[in-house]
Amino acid sequence: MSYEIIEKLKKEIEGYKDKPEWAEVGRVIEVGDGIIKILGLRNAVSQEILKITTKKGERTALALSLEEESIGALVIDDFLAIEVGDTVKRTGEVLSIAVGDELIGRVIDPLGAPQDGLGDIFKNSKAPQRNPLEARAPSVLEREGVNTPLHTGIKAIDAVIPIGRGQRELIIGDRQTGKTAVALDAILNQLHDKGRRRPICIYVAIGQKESKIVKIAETLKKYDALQYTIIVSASASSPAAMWYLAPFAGCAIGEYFRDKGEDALIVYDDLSKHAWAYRQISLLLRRPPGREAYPGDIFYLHSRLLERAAKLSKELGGGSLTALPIVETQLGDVTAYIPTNVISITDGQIFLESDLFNQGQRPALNVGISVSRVGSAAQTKAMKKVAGKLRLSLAQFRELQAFVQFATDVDEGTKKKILQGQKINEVLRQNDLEPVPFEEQVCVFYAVLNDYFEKVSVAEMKKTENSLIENLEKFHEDDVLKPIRETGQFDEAIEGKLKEALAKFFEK
Amino acid sequence: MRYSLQNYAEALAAAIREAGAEQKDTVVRNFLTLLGKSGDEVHAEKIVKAAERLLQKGDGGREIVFESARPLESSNRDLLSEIATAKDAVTLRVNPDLVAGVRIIIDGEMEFDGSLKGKLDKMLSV
Repeated sequence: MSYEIIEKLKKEIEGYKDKPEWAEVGRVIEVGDGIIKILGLRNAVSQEILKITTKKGERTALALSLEEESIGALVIDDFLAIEVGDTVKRTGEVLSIAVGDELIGRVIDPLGAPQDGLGDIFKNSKAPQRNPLEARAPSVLEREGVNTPLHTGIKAIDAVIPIGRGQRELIIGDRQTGKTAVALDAILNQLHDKGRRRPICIYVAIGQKESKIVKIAETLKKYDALQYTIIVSASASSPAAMWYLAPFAGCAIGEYFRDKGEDALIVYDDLSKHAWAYRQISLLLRRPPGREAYPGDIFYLHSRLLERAAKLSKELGGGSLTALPIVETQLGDVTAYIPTNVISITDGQIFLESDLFNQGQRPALNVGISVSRVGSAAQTKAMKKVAGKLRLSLAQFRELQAFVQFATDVDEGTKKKILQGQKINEVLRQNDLEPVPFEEQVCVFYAVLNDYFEKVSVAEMKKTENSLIENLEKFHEDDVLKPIRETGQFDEAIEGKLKEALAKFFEK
Repeated sequence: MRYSLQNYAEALAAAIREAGAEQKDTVVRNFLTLLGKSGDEVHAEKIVKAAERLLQKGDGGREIVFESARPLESSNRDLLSEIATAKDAVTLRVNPDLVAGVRIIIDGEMEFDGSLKGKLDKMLSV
């Protein structure tokens, strides 16, 4: 064994070609809080990786501010080892991350280093493909319209606020309203959405507690979702540089799958913390602060990130990258700076409200003000058939809600609409980590909208719905669920079979 | 500092260039008065060094730092004379951290690392 090591060392030394050349160098003139100021390196480019020679070894920094007399750089490694006077060299490269199928099932940091204690990621001797963290978004001609659904398994979303592959749908709400739960359900449901190509899911944790990230990883493992998920972790204890780079690293990984012709789903949890980190870095670089002390290009930070989520044209492989950015609001204020920025960038938003959460309406979606700008283009024909009527019923119920407390004083027609609205709301309630496949959703909505639940009280709705789903899974998998799942259609034949099944179930 | 180091150095270098031999005392006195007024006397040495570099650059000279692991031998002095001209300001430094060989830094911007330390660092980083 030791003989093999010596032989390997000899080979490395023989193969080493020494050719000292003139190199451009600079000198550290200021260091602190993860930022260094460098004198020299006149030809350095923006986002270039710089190497700093310290007494404790080499450290890496990213050139961010190219000023007249100096360069402001963000230290990616441990900045405590850097001293004034240390030499800095250019590498001529921009920051990139190793990508490949080997990342699936792993937890990594924004630089690609494994965080899960399972050893090296790329074990082959062949160097893996490296994708730059900053990349150009696909142009108009390189894209195609969003036309394939991405089912989240959450009934309220799949029916009323449908998401398509290649869309950017914002999840916005106060703290502890279930934003991460919605994203997690979307990831878990990909295991059950068998009618379509399964997307690779990437969960980017920005400034989250380590305990929360561990819980998420364990949940994904428990529900068998880790086999198609990658976690990029920049936890609360990591420096602002990691928080800043994490979404770009996740996006670079997502682009690898998108450009291969596959589908990918990326969750940014959350972009509010990402904005805080960028604000911190910009203030330390002495960039002029703007509104709420954010730098002037805070909009561009998120727009260039989210524009990389797209559905590519067939000529480029037809792959897609769907983004679910999460933004946290304070006291429901969606008119604040960062929320309004991200709302204007994304293709729709899912509002989660604390009031609804506290009333027991979970997921606490405000269906009235949530929107998906892609809409029914991202729905199967089967879901489209029931969703239109569902939306109308819900809208009528919302209008009539003020009369709920006076239900005895209104006419029969209004009473019926109010009752149906209450039953639909009950159907839309759902526990987290229990995504419902879309074919089952179609059947349940059809039953509610066609008054099959007429004799069921509002309090019994949940129990009856669960029994109905169990019944369909046990006895009508082949004649009802499978055809809807495989074809995405809800034609007369399938409708007939479903009617028979519902009549039999509700007779009991 | 009230004004940046670069501003001070450029102003001092310009004043020296324009001043005749009889005005040199005036330049020095005015420079020190300015530093006293702005409270930047403590940075005087840095400013004078920076002005010196600017004047050298203006005359086509360079600042060359020649580091070696041991005091220079005749073979290395020949190398030095190939690189440096009469206009250049040369500083010789002994840096045992280099282990062997030499390192040459020109104007703090270009470096030639022919030291053994550099070679070992490069080899071990591959």
